[in-house]
Amino acid sequence: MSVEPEVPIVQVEEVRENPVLYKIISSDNHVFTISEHAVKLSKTLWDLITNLGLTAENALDNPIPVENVNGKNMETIVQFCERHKYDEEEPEYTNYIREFVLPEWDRQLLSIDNEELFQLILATNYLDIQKLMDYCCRVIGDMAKDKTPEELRIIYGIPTDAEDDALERSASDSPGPSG
Amino acid sequence: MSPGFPLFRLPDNVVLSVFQNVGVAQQILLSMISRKTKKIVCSLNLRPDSISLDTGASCDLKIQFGFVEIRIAFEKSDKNAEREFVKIERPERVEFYEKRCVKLRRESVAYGWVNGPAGVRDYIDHFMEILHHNWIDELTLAWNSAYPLESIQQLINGLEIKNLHFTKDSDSEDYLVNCLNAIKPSRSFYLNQAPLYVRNRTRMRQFFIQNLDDIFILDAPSDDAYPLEEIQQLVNGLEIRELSFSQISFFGNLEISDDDMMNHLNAIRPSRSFCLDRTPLFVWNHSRMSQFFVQNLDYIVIGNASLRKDGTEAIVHAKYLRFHLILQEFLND
Repeated sequence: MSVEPEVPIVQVEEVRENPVLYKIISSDNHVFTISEHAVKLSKTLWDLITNLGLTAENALDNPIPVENVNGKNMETIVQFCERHKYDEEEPEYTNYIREFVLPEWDRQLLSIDNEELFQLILATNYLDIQKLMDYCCRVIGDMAKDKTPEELRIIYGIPTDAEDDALERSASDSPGPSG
Repeated sequence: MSPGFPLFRLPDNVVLSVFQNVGVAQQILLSMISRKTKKIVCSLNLRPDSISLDTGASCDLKIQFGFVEIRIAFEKSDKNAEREFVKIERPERVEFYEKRCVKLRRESVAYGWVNGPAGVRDYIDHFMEILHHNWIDELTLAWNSAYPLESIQQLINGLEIKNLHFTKDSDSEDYLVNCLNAIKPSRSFYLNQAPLYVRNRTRMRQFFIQNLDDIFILDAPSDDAYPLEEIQQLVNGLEIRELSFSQISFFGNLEISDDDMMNHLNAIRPSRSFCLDRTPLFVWNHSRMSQFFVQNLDYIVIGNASLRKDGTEAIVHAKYLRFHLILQEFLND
């Protein structure tokens, strides 16, 4: 049974600059188009495109199913990739702190509740988009600003050593997949 | 889902990335929360510029990361306690401060910190482990320190102390000798506002227990200064890597002449560098300064800049390099 998309196809306003477009179908059957430069930001998608042998001629006829990412997250990801597709490559960081300022546009994009941010990070991790991952991690990192250790424990839900030990014990006590 | 962010439900690589994206103060605070967070912070391979310990009215551990300074103050809650009975093994209160430079302005943040059952040495060991730094760069002892020498000795037992500083006059030479023998700094020993008796060179000689990296001459030469001949005898047979002058007038009234500086250089013959702190601007004259490269020095430091033998500017000290960068940034604005 096919499911009709609930949201319209996202058309990206980059056709004039780069005629090569790809179609992506999210886990809930929403269809997105994304330009070649933008999709290259996702290592997973670009590897997939390369392995499937998609070209400018057949790309739009062969939508790529991404079953681990829903439409809402995919929309955010496509917006992000289109926004940053011409960014220069960032130098490898060598210091103990990543030195970059989160641009205002991206801060707005990532101003979502924690559950949504959590799901977006899982999607970003799956699609392997380093820049978006850095920005998401910066948003989470900013939650720690000027907080005490006890506040950090609550904000990040960090288990105590005793809780970690109990979790480890219960994991070792529980039967494995075979039995 | 809880109101917080479920960090540890994320994949390990993402958790690591989050830890890399918080400030260094938060990284250190996170390391205190659990064994798991400590392990992650250890894996970040943090390397501070220096760690110093100051035992004055409170016991302060300072960790310097570039422009960021983390200070952890260990205090007894009863400030009226008799000093002789104050011990520092188990502080009643731990305070955590961060000083950072934001847009050329210094700002300071105080974090609350509820102390657990750990003692000061436990904290020091913890920081040494997560920062991969197994020595104290500078230990400062105040003559009127709240802490007995035995406590301090226990506190740093087994750790290399590179530089030992005294901040106040001591009226007891025995106390100084005891401190030196107890602490045994591996690089330098600094007496600020030292009492007059240290001018007795035969008594001072005992403090030179080993080769030192730096000899620092304050307000020299003037009537109150240590005579050059005595300094020469003091350091006779020792390798002195750096010779520093300080407190020379900034406003043109030189208290030291070129000849005096040359005499000191020739007498002490530092093996590595010669540092002139707060010298007036006119010494920034290459032809005049070149006379001070009388031997095979690596560099000469003048105030905020460094010169090589050929007169070109040298970048040898990180602190000077940073100063240049700030200045450049400021000029660009």
